[in-house]
Amino acid sequence: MANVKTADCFQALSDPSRREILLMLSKEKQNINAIADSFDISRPAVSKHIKVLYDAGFITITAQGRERYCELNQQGFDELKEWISFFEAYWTKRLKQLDTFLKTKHAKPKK
Amino acid sequence: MERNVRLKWFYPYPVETIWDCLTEPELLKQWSMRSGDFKAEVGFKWMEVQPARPRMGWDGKMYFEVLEVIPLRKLAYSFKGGPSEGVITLDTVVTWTLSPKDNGTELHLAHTGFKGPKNIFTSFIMEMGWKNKIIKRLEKIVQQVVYGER
Repeated sequence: MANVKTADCFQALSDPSRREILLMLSKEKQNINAIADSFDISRPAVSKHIKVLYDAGFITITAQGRERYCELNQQGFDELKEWISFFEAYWTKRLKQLDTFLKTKHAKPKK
Repeated sequence: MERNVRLKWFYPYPVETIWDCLTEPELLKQWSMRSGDFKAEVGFKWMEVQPARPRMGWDGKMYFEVLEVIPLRKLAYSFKGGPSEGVITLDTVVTWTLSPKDNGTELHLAHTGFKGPKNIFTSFIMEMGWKNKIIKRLEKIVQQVVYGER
């Protein structure tokens, strides 16, 4: 994800068909044929969209037998949650430390 | 889902005391485990080190720079970090706001701007609720994010 440029993400999301594909994948993983069948555009065009989404890091592609399945990449979402909870704990600890510090430094609160 | 950290804490001490604790090197050293290398001056830069967290793509180095100082009221600094030297994936802002309340101080902490290029878009997609009418708003939101609107 460190290598993914914002421009790539923007480009990936700029196309209505690609957004549609992402929304389809948000419900469940889909094989590429099923995705292609739901669009009026050609199969190669769908493959190209999928490649753009894959390159931008939005989706992962896995093979099951002869079928290839696309799935929404959860990693970015999970990473964000991890950062938020880490820093929530980090800053809470700091606020508590300040509390403790003040209590020990000033026996009684100043008015 | 929440993309920012927002906390508040009440201290039964005047804002002057709390402000000093946030800005005076000698005091910072005593409660925040920092080196005490700090100046409440816009543009002042310093660094702190935490244990590395490779799973989160973070080498534990915290690069700070003071962005705004309003004595007794507000202190803001940027906080950047990433997986290795010179690679910044975390680009955030930490804002402390002090307000007098009930013979003491309410201290607000906001840590905002978590938006790694991919995770922000993923979370937007996730939050869209998969409703068609919302898709039309997506473009607008994406533009705001890309062009720096927070």
